[in-house]
Amino acid sequence: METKKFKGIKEVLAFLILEIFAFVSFSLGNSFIFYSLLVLVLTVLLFIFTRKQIVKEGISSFAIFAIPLFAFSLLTTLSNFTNDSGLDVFSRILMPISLTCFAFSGYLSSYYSEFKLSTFFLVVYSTLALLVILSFGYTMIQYTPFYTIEHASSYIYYDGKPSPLPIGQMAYFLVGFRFVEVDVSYLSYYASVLFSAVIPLFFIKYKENKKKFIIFAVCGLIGAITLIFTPTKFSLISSFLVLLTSLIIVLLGKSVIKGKWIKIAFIVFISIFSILFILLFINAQTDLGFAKPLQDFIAGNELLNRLFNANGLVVNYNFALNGLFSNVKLFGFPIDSFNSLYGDNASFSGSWIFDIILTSGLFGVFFFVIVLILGVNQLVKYYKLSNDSIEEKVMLVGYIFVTFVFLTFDYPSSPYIYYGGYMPLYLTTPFLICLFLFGYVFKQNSIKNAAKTEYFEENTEVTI
Amino acid sequence: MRKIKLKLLLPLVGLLSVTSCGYGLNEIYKGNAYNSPVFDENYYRIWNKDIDPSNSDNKIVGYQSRRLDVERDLVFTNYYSDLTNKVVNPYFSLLEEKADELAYTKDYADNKEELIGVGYGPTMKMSRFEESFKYGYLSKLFDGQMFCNGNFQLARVQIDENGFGTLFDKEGVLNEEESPYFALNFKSSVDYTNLDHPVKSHLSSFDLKISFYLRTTDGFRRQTYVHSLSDIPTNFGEGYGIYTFFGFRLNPSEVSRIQGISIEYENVNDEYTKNYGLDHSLMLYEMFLVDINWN
Repeated sequence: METKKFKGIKEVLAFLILEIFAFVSFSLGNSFIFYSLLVLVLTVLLFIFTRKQIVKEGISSFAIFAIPLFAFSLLTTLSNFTNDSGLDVFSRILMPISLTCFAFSGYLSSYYSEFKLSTFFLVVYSTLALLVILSFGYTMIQYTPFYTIEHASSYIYYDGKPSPLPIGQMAYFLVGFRFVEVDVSYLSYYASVLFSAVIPLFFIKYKENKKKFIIFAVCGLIGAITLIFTPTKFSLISSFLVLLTSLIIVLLGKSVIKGKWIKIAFIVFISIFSILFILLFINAQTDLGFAKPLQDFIAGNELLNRLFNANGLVVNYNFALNGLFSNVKLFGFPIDSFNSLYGDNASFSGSWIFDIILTSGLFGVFFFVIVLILGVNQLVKYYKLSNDSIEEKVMLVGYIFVTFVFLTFDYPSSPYIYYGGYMPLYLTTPFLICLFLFGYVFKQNSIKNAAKTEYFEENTEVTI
Repeated sequence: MRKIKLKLLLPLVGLLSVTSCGYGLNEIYKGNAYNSPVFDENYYRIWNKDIDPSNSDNKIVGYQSRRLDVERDLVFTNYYSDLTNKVVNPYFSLLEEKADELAYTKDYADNKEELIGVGYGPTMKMSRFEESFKYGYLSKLFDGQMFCNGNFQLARVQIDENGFGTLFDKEGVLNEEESPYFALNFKSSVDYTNLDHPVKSHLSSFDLKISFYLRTTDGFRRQTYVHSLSDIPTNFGEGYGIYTFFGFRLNPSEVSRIQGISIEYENVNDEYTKNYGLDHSLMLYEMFLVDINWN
């Protein structure tokens, strides 16, 4: 029988999980080292309290997820990009451990009885809302609503030179303990993730859970207002995709659309994407002799040329894909060479698919894709079979999918306009929280029990 | 329900009420401002309305002007009195203890971090000591780039005799215990892009007027210092020897606080410009207000 003291310690640990992720979600101090150390301590404490409960079969499926995650982060920390990026040595040492611990702490939390996923999301969304409203508020004080449209081609002078971006592409964001000028897409990233807080509103009964409903509503509203008042060409596209993703998750949760249609749509989408990606890859190569006829055909067709060669996005995609098997791209692109070799003709693409090639190399992106495939596969199993409430399931799925939809199109890896430096997506706090959630869904107990129950019902029918 | 809607809407209304403050939009430019191949389009003539002498509604409530005394005010017009041997101007060396350690040469002209502690401009630039000097068109005068270095109009603030006047975001406070001083690195020029007339190096002279503005309860008090400069190299192109490094001591009993500054000049004596009807200009590269606390 648990003593009161022991129960008290367990409650304190549950509070610690929430507190740590409140700091992470708020990007407190913008310090990767700080979050990493906190999560390391948390993982150790959770392991002490949950080691007896961990189902041995379960840990192996999580290990299959954790190993490529560790490999990805190890390759990233050793990559040419990280070597040049100015990331301090301590952060580089911590990175593989930290990213794996984020996922492992999620896995251990799923076995921790005092941990409640809905409370976790209340804390995460609330602190994210605080971060976004402070940043948005300061941006509005410095600029005006819809300044992104009105001042799309206006510049300010900074340190003796015109600003590298027009005002319409700038915003302010709380980085550490000061507001700094960032790419407006950086603000949109956090606002979009925050907007996913509207998803659970469709599953919470207002009269039964007024406070929770209001908190999620306010969080979602802050995200929406931020996106509405700072529209840019790209943010309109990413916002539409975020909205569409949220809608699909809600409709799926309400069983308005069947899972099998999502599966069919997903297969079709992946097939079309794969074909386009292969064409893009071949077209991007400059040293593949056999690709010349295809490249000439694409260049000769106006529509295909616009799609594969002559638009602002694809220039950066081609830069990432060209020479993919060269020594440089295998282990990440040395960032110092960016400007000296390519000047303004190359930069990060805004999409994780291509940016991970530059930051982590071909091997790194290979492991990253494996992590995502394993994670999404487990996510689907979790959604179908877990005993968590539908509200918790849609929140979890929504947070992950909205984060990755944004990261697929519009994430600026060098968001700081004047202060330089990089913030690759794998160091951003929404991504770190996604790792925690991916770890969480590997909980086997409830999934196995649900599977057993299904099996028993089938048997019952057969015997009748 | 109505109370909840009100509670939700009030913070939003509060937030939106502070928008349109637009502090970050006080000074915006379209494309390449003051960066035209046409000489006349690059003159910076902006005066803050509160201190603009041509504005009848300005807030100037007091005005004093005097000529600088070379000995009393430690007026200097070059960094090195002996350029060849790099001997620092004696009056400047009385004001700046680091004058001998730091270099005033074109080689150390750029605004680069590695030149801090090496070049005078990068070390003493005002943007190092106060962040607000990094913002605005006049940040060109606080970025540490002392010389043209091939950047032409991108490196300089080009003024005519009417000059410009600006108020700073922060107020500078002068301390009797330190030795505050003002310095300005500039060139003199006439329109060198006008192909109708030959570009001819020559000398000119003029009276330089530097005015400081002290905020009072009901406006600004203006304190102007005038100094006659003669034999100033004009249209000499590049070469750090032809820049003028002008400055003087600031007396806290006369100017205890600085909220703004204006730079003008008058009584131009330049035979070349008179002969051809051209406009004379000053190209300001860097300005310093040293040993001042900004609040």
